[in-house]
Amino acid sequence: MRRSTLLVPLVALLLVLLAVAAYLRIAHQSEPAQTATTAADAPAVGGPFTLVAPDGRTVTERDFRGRWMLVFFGYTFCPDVCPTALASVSLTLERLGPLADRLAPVFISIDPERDTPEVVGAYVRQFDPRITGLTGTPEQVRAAAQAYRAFFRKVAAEDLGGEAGDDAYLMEHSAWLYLMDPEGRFVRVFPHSVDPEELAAGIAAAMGETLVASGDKAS
Amino acid sequence: MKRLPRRTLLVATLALGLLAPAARAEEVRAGDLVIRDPWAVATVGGQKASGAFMVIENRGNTPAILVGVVSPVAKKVQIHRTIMKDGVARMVPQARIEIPPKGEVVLKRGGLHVMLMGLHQPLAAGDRIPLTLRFAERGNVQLEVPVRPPFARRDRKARGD
Ligand SMILES: [Cu+2]
Repeated sequence: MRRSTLLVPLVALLLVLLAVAAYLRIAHQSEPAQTATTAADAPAVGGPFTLVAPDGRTVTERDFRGRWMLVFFGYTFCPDVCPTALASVSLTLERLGPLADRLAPVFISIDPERDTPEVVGAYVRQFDPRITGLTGTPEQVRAAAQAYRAFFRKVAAEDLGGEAGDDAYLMEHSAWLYLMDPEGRFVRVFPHSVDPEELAAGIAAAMGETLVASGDKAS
Repeated sequence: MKRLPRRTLLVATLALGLLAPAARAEEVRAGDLVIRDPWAVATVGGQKASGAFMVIENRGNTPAILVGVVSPVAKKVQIHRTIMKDGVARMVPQARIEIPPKGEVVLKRGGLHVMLMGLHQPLAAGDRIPLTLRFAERGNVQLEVPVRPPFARRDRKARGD
């Protein structure tokens, strides 16, 4: 009897330790090569870009100076990864409360062929009006992705069992959320599937702020 | 439409029609298959693609093989699996999905989805779109899938996406 009552908390503790260990391992493995590039000699993540906003205005990285940036590369044709990331960003903005004013979430399309400025604008607005959706010419988009060391590749319709020239092609793309500081310097990445609570805490920590407990958040 | 009795489809369609306006947790039974909580993602601003999600349960004693999905709303419909590798996301077409006996397969974000490509019309939240699941041996299952926004704060947790 006594032994079994002791056993339960012990097993529980062991399970918690195992879960923490597993989490740390996964978190560690999911860090991209980019996080290693904080060393001075490694190529920097982020940099100048020139893209187009939903209202047709030309936008560069300088327009975001003075605010933290959370950058994600994706495309509106994508029903899974991109909505997951944008939903997480939206909940994170809510969770950040007033701190959200210091953050500029930016969604950059890597599919400019289909994603016109209007399409990207309407798409991101569904998640949160504070998210800026950007696209551009294929050259502008390629340059922006290169600046962030973000990978993308078109998978033609004929490689998916369709006919050549079909517009039902897909894109493969890096799915990190890049956090940049107000000077435009790379801080860290989060996986696209990050829990909003964790994302909000990570951003607040980078800002040197502490989040109030979720029960009494200001919104 | 191979083995599945026409009557089952009719009943399923009727039941859906009656439940349509308010139903949250929808369920369609066809033989030993049960399709639960199907939904498709609403489109905006001329988006040409969408995805559909659901739970497919197999109450039978033999594996059920989903071999394809068709819908009049899109030029091309495929079953995709989202794969994350080295931080890169891609969608990989699946020729078949096996639902084990007395088991289920969940189509949800981060895993499998029905990919609707080359939409002939926008999908508006509140619409219902026809979707036909094609199973080997078991025939077709007809669904009327409700369309919802890609993200709604309130029911995000409940929907598990
Ligand atoms: Cu897909």
